[in-house]
Amino acid sequence: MVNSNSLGNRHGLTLFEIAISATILALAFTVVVSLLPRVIRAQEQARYQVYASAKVMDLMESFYCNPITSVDVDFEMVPKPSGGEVSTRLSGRPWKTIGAYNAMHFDLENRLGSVYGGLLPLPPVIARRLDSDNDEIQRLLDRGGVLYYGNPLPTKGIQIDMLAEIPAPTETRKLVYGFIGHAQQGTIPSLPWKAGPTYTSYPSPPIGEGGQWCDSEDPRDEPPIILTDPFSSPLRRVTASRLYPADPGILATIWGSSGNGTLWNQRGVSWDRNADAGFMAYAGGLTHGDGSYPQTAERAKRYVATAYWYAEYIAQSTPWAPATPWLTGSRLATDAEILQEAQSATVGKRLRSLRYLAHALMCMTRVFDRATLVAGVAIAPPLVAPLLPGPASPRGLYSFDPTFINVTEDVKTPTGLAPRFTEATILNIHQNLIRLAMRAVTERPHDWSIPKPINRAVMSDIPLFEWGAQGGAASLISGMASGDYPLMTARQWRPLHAGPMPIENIGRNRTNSSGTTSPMDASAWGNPVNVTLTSRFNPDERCRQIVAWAVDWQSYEDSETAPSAPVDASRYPFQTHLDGESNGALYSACVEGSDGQGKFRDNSQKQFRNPELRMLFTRDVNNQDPDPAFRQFLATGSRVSIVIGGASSASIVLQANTNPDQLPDDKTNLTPRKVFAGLYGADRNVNGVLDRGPVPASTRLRASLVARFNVYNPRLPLTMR
Amino acid sequence: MKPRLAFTLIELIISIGLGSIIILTAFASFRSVAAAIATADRLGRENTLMRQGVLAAYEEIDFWQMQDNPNGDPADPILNGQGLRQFDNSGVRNVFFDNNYIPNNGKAGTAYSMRGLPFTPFQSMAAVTDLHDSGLRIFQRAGAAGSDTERGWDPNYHWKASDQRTWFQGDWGSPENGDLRFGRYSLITNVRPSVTLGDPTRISATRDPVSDGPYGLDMRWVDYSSSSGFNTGNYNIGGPVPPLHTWRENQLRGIQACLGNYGLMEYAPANTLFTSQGGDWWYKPPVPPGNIPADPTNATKVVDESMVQLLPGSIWPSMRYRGQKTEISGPIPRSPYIYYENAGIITKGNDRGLNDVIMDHHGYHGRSGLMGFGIGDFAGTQQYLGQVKNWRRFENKINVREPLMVRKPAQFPDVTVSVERYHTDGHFATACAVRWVNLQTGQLVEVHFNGFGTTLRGARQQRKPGGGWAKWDSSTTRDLNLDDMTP
Repeated sequence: MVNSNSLGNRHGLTLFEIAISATILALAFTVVVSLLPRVIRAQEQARYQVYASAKVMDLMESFYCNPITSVDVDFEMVPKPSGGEVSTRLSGRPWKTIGAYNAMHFDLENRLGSVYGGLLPLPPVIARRLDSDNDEIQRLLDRGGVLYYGNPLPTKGIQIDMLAEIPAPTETRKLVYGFIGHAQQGTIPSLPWKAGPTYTSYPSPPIGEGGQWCDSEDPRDEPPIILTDPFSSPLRRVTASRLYPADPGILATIWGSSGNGTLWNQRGVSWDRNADAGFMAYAGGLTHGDGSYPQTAERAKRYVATAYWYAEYIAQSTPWAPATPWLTGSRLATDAEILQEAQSATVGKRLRSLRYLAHALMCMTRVFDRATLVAGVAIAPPLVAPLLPGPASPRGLYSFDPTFINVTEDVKTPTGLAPRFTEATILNIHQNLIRLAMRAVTERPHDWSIPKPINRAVMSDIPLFEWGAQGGAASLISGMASGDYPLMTARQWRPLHAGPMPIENIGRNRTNSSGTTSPMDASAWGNPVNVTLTSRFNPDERCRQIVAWAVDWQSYEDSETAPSAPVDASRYPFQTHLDGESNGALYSACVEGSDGQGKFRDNSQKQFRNPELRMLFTRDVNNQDPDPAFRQFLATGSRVSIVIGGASSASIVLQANTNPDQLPDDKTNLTPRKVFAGLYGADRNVNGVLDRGPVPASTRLRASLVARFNVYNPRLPLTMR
Repeated sequence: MKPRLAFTLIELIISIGLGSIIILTAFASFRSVAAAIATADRLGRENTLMRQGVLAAYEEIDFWQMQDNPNGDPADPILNGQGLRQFDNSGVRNVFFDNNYIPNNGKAGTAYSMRGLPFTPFQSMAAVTDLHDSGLRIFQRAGAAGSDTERGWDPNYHWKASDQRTWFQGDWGSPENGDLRFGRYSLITNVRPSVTLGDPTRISATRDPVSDGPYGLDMRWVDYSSSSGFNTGNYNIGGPVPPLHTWRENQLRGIQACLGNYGLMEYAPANTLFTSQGGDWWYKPPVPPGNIPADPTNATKVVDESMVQLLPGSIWPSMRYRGQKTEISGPIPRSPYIYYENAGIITKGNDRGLNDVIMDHHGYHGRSGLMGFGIGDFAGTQQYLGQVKNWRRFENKINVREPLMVRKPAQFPDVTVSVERYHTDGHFATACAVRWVNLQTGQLVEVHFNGFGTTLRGARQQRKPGGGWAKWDSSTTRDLNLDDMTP
């Protein structure tokens, strides 16, 4: 029952109370409403985190699953043919090798911040306008770091660059990335003094160290390809004149005649016309200069004769174990014989000579009737004896120029051996060779006079070399950067080797047998106490952090016209001059297509060019360049590429011109260099349109932190799959 | 009782005014809140779907269910989601070659052996024969284990580098269908157990000097120095010759026949030279070199001993990390459906479509077929694939784009997940894309990335030949999987 008194005593809410209540309610609403943008911002942040996570996973895939060296170039020490460089290159001048100190490093930032790595450097003028918590971005830049943006092109794992048919979410373009933490010391990809292929085929001919020889093309157009390691592409066609085998014995085996220390491209129109014996005389080309065919039984025998002579020449100074069948092929070698030979310190020399001999002998199976070969083919003394030095004779079938060959006194004594080879002995020699090669490289993995057999599929064989960065300037190797143009002083850290055994015969792979050249100068090595590659470490010591921020940097008015970040020249595969070369340039790029003028060939050196290569503008769209041919005012929204992904002469985006010989940035004069450097800007969202955003360059933008990713930076190059 | 007073008019007006303000404020706030909640909800939903899409892509990377569904697919009553387990044993090679490769001197419709797809069980492929020798079974389990005569796939053998059988013993310095300038390496290694070398009786008299050009690469025994020009001698005296080694060539060609190029590069050890000895193909140089006299016998066609390059793009021996610089090799076809390009429709189980897919997968269609890209030329490849239309045609053959959710509320965006797999630039690309349509703007947007996960070999070992998932990580139970050759 209701108490009427109590009802009677109750009063209604006063106006003041209502006003207070309404105020409280309004405040509550206001608070709720004010929180909602934060909710939305949190959702946006979550979306950025998804984008960033996918991007970083993609970067890791790129880092760990691509081949561990550039597919574009390799970097053997290639000596100069005329001799001077051969004698001096080993005296401690690593800058004579095209493997620049940073070109091939398996370094996180080095690989990811490149044309195909997935990240592109943000123009510094824009990066300098970005604020962030604790000013982290500016501190990164102050320390020499780089801020990157994600490559806007779809990730396809393929070198097709303009596949932008599906637009990436615009939010992803707002993400920028930085690498926090110090760069890590890892193995150096190649020792500059190496001077010889790491891998070769067994058997293979005495040139190019395993080079491929074509039979349907003129070898002048298809010079041998040198192997360095199996993880890179074939070494591009190194200029033939650099493939100088300093060992005169090898030269004789190649040419079978004197030559003048040069290869086919300097021997006149018909490169093998005057080669009367040896590999070149047999193998080369379709016809001789006189129209005759080179692959004759006679020339095969001469090739065998020269290879056999060379094998004997080597065996006289470093003999095979007695009574072994290595040069006769009378039987298969026993496992014990192979082991004994494989453990010998001088096996590299003999193995090489056997490699040539086996190759020459196999050629006989091509040009001889089987019945003849089963019965046996004699390499008669007349074929061998004239190889011995004597008075120079008119160029004949068997003559060698003693003044060049410089045969030792030992070889002057005729052996009287008249080797006779049958099909069975040829096959035995082949099998003995390949078994010995496999065993030798296993028994003596640190002997670099033994090229590793490409015939055997193994995953990795990475020597533990590093640069010894300790000790300051006094400990550096120093010298002049150029032989004929001593314009500047060059310096390099000293190499350290962390392996359990010293590397033997560095620099002697191709040149060791005659003793005319020296190995790597021992004084070039750094102090082994500084080796760090095998030191214990905690995971966090080798971790770097990829930090992602979100900022709408593409809303800047100059987001596409701002110059590219400075191109890192330390990544170029440059070498300094070789002695005796006298072209006008200070540096030359010793890879295919190099013209000695520092010219960049797009198809050879993309990896080392401006990372924004494919989107660079080829003229100044603000009409400011002094050269009228390279300036043009374009209104915002103008097409800069008519067809994305297609060539168009009207396009001003570099990608549109896919002919590597016609790229606007590969010339040596000033304006193409500006294109190369990205001074005209780039189509940075790859939409084919010139964009100028609404935000003036004087405005600073704030970048909000999205995510941090810890990444292990390995010591050794590796490929996951 | 104290009399109660009514509100005065002023009070009433103020009250109504206040009430109105409150109502309006509340309404405005409610609308704002509702809009903000809707936006946050949409963002959150999209984020969730996007995240789920990325996770689905990663799961797909590990389990390959878009290519082969071990649980079956009710939506695919014919192939049951396992279309890539098929093989073609029709015996007809309805395929054209370009890039100067002309099979059997350009004669189409030549019989060939069965070919498989990435998930074809090895059991089904026991009868596979060599592409160059329809009578030679290259993958049927036979021979003594560990010997050179062993055949077929042994999943427990790991290609030891010390095993002489695994070594390449051919001529690395010669091209495919070269003139054997550096010797008859088939004496040492060949896919056949016995080889006929330079047999003049196998010389064809039908060679057309016009279409074949004045210069055909001659694999016979030749001594050009003889006064009579071509010598009629040969290396077949005494009959066929047994090569010293045959295991490696049979293994590589068997894997390739079963799985295509992608599987070949995965199953063979890293840095394998993808070349083998023993072929009968014909290579015709694009431009016959000059100064070559006409072949007086007007015929050269010797089989058995040519080199065969297993990967497209080069006549020279290549490795996965080398020589594959500009190629796309062995893309995994879309599955479970077979794409019939000419009709522009998706058919299931169509024989012609299957043939097409298999030829694509094995790289026989070459550049114009968009799958093999055997052009070996960087600029050419780049220009070709750089055309969006060509790339899309290529993707049509490999792209499987599946909805993240088969059934969903209408207001949810359509999210699809796709994974493309192919090999290029020494790299197994696994290109993933999560795509959706922005509900507000209608814009099609995509997050794309590469990921790494289970290999094809691992995926095959996850699957039972008859369907279902195989147990392979138990110490007591190991189900048969697609790699096992004997039940």
